[in-house]
Amino acid sequence: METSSFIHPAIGFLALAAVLPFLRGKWWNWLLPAPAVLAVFAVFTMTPGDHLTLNWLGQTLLLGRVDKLSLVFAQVFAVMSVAGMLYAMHVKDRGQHIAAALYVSGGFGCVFAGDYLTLFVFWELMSIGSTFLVLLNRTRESVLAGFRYFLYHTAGGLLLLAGLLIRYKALGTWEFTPMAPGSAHLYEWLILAGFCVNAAVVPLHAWLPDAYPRGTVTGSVFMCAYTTKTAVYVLARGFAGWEILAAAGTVMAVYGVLYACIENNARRILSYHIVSQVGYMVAGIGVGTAMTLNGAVAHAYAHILYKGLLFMGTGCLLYAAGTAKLDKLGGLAARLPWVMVLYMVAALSISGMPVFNGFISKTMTITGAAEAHRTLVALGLEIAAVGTFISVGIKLPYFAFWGGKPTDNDRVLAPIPWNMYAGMSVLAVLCILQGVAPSILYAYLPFEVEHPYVPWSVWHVLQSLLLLGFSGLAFYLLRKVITPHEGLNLDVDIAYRAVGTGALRFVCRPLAFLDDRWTEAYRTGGLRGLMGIALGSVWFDRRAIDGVVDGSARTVRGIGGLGARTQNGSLQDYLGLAAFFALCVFGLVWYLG
Amino acid sequence: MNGLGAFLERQRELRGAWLKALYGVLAALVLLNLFVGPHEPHFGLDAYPGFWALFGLVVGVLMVVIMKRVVQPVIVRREDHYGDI
Repeated sequence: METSSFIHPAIGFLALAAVLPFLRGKWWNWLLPAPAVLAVFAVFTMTPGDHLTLNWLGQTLLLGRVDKLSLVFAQVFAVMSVAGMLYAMHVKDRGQHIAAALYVSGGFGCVFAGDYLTLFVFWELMSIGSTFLVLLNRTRESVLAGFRYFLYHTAGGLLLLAGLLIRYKALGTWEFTPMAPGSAHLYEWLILAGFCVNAAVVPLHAWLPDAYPRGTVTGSVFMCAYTTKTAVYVLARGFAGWEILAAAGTVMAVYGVLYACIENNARRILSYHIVSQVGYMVAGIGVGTAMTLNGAVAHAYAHILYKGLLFMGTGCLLYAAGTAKLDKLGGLAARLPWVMVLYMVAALSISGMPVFNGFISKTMTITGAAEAHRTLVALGLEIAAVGTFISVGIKLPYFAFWGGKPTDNDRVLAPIPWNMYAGMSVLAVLCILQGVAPSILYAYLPFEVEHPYVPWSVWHVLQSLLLLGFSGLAFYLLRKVITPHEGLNLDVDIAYRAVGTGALRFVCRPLAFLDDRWTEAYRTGGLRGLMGIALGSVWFDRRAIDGVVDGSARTVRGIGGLGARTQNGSLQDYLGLAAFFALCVFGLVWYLG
Repeated sequence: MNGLGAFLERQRELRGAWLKALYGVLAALVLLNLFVGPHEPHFGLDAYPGFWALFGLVVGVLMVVIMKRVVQPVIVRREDHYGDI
């Protein structure tokens, strides 16, 4: 087995996360893009095949399954990590970089995992890393959202774990292979449900618009790229052709744009559009022809580039103006012109405007669905395309940069560092390059098709321009109606919040009751006895032990203090500690295996 | 304000011209649609010229009006409805 032609792209990121806390001086931030560049190099030099096997508890784990499907996802993950790390270079908080590095390495780990155990370990690593990217925004709102996010993903992870354990019991293998559509084993449904949580399949999606708008400016850029797309990858590998996904994807595509239509927070609009865009991919996987699968993969690739850029653009607004709420913005076009231009590149990409990369990926999925005679799927995706252009293509930039307001010269804007522009420029160039020359992307698509899809035909261009032009007209006519206002739109998270509150009551009430009774009993009975014992022991202590014990007491107090410091009651620290120990164990196993 | 910012500032005064240009382009697209159509219509109706223009306009208008005027009034709450802000 050839191992020399495979460097696992996660290695660099894990190394970065490990050394970052110990680096001194000011120049450590120049190290940030290094593992990303290494990852790009690794992806373009690795050869297909099975690499990096590991024996653990009598099981053989496969950490490096390299084939066309894993390669194309790894490639876009690597490219995105370069832009994301560039964009984040100015951030002084090392914790954010460590979280991002662990998160990205988890993404690579999942993509190359050849078995369910490896997949699960990296799946959870992603979940922990991304939780920190929300928590480290360090507002009360973010910490609470991060906590909900973590609970939700833990539940999703447990579904996956239950599924893969039952599957092992039934089949005797951890191997991660395609599941035949329509077979109705419990374990397959459990695994599918675990994947669907991360793919934000409606109605399991509410964690996404809850957490992503509350992440750090640079953290959300990473999150929008990896979690859902890793889920798309595992769905494409495991569940291609599953009918239920075609329906679920179409519902997602429409549901996301409907909510985006009424949202006020720019980053939440984009979050709902992740649900919608991932819907295209899930639908493509569900239809399951070579063309729609390629469409799903192409759309995932294009989507990572433009969605990263969209989150970067709105991140700039948040960074400079201090808010991403559209009713608080407006009149900024002349003051942040390049942010506007770079944002618009991404906005036109997601809308599927010719020249930009959404045009060559979105139309492929829709045409594929229509050619497979899935008229309803294709129709749903066209409706979603209209909503996408109205919300992300026009509404968001119009109300952020113009909004019918005069140029806002009074607002104090924080200057945007050069590296943020650099990260955005990388993605903007790629969005346009792929749009103009689709073969740059199509060359890497994994599935063989009889008739290659040609996006640049007169009809495709005309159809896209007609659809987008007239949805633009609809916006213009209704610009007074669609004006965003402050407010919270209820979503299905109302259900899981109720479950959470209920569970908390269920646990807390009896515990509080017991605690009360115990305190009472202790005060009346226990305390008196204890006082007696204490008096006796004080006498003994003074006479006999003082000299002997003093030395060891100091030691014990020292250890106790350390213990108390680690148990400070804040979830972040527990999580970090748990992740740290898990990594140590994994590293040990790796080394010993 | 740099060059691009100043350019954008000037365009604000040319709103009317931009709007006319938009109408012109839309009309041209529909006109072109009379001569260029799909090889294989996917939905049947899309064989007729102007279908996608009407589709974009009608779906867009319905989506905005229904979501903003019917759905949102029912599901909107105060920003700190859950008390977590």
